[in-house]
Amino acid sequence: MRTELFGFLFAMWILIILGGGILVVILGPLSITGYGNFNSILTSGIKAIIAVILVAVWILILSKLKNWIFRNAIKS
Amino acid sequence: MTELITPAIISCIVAFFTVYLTTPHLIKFLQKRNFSVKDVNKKNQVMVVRPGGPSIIAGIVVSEIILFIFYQANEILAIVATSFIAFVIGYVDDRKVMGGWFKPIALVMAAIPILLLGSHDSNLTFPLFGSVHIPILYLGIILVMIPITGNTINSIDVLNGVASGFMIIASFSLSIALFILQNYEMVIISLPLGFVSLAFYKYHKIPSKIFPGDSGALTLGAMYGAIAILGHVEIIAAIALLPAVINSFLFLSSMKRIVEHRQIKGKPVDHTEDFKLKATNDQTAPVTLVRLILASGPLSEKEVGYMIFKLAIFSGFLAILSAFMTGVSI
Repeated sequence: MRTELFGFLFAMWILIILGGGILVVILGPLSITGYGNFNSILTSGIKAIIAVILVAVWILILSKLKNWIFRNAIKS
Repeated sequence: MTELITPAIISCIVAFFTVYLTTPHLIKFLQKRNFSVKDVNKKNQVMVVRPGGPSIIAGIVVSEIILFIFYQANEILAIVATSFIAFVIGYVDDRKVMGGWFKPIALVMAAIPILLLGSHDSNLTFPLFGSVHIPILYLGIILVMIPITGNTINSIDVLNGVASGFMIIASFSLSIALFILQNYEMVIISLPLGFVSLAFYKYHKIPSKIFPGDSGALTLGAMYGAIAILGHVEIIAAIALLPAVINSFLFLSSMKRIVEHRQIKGKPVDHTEDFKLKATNDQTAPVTLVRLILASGPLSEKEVGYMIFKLAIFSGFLAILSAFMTGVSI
């Protein structure tokens, strides 16, 4: 169990790095035009929605990973 | 960079000795007023005074003011204000038991000085992939970050010496990461946090003479969060904090709601006959980091604390590695 905790930490780290990559690749270049003064607000709003979805996916993966790594011990 | 060395040394010495010298007086003061709680992990009826927050905030404020005398940076003011507001919120919770939502919501206020002083950036930087410009979303991150770091450190304050010991490792890892990223001013500003934690650990380590309380834990966590934002190392700071993040994540995912520890009926951890800690089979109790550590067998309180420190050192190493990776682009 104690070794598995280090594995879980490492998995979280990998997920953060990969999640960051997705954020930079998807959110970085995103820019909406054609709505005048609302361009920046719309861009920020869509970026915020994508970021929240990515965080929710990140938590979901982490939760699955937690159950997979700790299996029965989590309910002991 | 060389001109920063003198203020750095002075502020670190002041941070350490302010806490080191004031804490014994605080302990006596709290003993006289009987501000003590039972140390539940000791065999005999051992009472420990709390909170240690006043000496922690004194160390932070005095050392950062000394730094401000040397060079007037808004970042210093923002850190002092954020830490102080977090201390007040924690102190209110120390004196009067508040609901589970009080601290997360109230700590949003602690983030406001960072916004008002305008010393933040709008870019979120990730190792390997570079940064993303998110001006409006970043404001939300600032408001959320301080409550998260404050409560995360508070949630790991479960055994003698763990919160302060963990903070020593996390904050020095963060300072090293800032050094690697050549953000020397923030290195200097961040160092007092490590030295304040180090001095407090002297009295907090097993067997504790004083507990930090909510005021101490929230102050340390909020200052850590403020350094992360102002040093533009939010992701690296989160990595250094991962064992505490795991603890909060496990707790929330098992309880499915924000709840104060004292409101929980189920016990995640119990004691053996020789008063070692052991994980329980209580299905109503939250899953915590300590419970997971104990899942493979009973350990003494000291052994559990050292295990948490090993995890903190591992995540500190990952944070430093991430700082090196931040300079690289793929």
